[in-house]
Amino acid sequence: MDPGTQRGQVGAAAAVVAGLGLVAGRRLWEAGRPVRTLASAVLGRSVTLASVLAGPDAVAALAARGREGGAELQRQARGLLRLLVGEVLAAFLETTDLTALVRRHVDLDAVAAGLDLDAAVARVDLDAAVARVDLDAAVARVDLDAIARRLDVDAVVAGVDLDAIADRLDVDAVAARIDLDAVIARIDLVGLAREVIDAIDLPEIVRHSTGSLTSDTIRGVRIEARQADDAVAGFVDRLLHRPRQAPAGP
Amino acid sequence: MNSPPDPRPAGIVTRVVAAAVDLVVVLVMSGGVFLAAAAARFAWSPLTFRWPSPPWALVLAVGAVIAGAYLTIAWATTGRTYGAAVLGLRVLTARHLKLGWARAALRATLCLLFPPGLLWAAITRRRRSLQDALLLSEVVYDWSDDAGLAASAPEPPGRAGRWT
Repeated sequence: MDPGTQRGQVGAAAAVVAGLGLVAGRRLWEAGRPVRTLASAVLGRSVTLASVLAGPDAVAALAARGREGGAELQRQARGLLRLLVGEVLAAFLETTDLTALVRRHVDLDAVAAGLDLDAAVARVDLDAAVARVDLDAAVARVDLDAIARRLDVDAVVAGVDLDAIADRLDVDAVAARIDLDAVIARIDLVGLAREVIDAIDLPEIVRHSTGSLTSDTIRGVRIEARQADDAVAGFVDRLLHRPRQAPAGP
Repeated sequence: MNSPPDPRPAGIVTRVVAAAVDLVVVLVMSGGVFLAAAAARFAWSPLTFRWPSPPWALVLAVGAVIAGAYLTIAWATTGRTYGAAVLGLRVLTARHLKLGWARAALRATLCLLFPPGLLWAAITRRRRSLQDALLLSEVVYDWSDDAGLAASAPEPPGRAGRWT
């Protein structure tokens, strides 16, 4: 038999027992009516007789005693009831999953909709809460390396508008703060110059340029002299009335 | 020197400039001889050293010897003095051969004895000085040491290599 069916049968049996109890109680109550009437009458007469026999003071004392006793009984009953309620509640909480019960029967969305969170937050002293937080300890527990590994730096850089940053950058101010003397002092200018001279083979360049210059100069002198030769020859030819000779060479 | 010279005779201006360069060379060589003589004199007697003051006749004689030797050796070996090399000239025979030692020495002597004979080259159509006319020599353009100009200069037909 499955648990659902078993629970249904138990519920039906309990309902039958409760119905029997109610019917039996009603019968007993109706059957005791003459007894209750007789007891009320006897009690009324007894009080009247006692006040006549013992006097009003004694009756008042008894009444006070009775009230005190009633109050004591009421107090003890209340304590007993509190004890019983505590025991019942403890047994109930031990046997019942309150969280599941609330989830099944309480509309949490409706409850949350009714909450005034702004008012609740306004009542919270955030400064005091932050002051109680040990930020150093919290930061010490953070694994920054793991966070950095998960970070897509390329995507972050791609999203940065470097042109706009460069436009806002005051390069002159940055350059003014640079200690160029200290930078130059750390540079081995002599060694650097020696490396550059070794790399470009300056002596070979000087030799080549000097040779080229000399060659060009000599070539120019030769051409000029040769043109002067032709000019003189032409002049002499005209002077001696000879036919002009062809220019000699380049 | 593998390229043949330009067979065209050189004009008076080029030859005068070359002669001027050679004159400077001779003066430098003469100065060197003078300094060598002074150094020898100093080494011989440092305490009584005085700069030599030779007579003009001796100076001219030494200068003539130096110039004659310089011109003879240059024309007999390469056919060109330093001045001729700078100006791109070469002294050859009428058949474009090197001068021999005798003809080179004789030409040097004649040039030293009568330098104005060079001016005759400005008058004759073949641009020959009096010395060239007497010794059948010729001074021609030779730019074969300058690759760019030698390539542009016309070569003598059928005479390549004869002067070497």
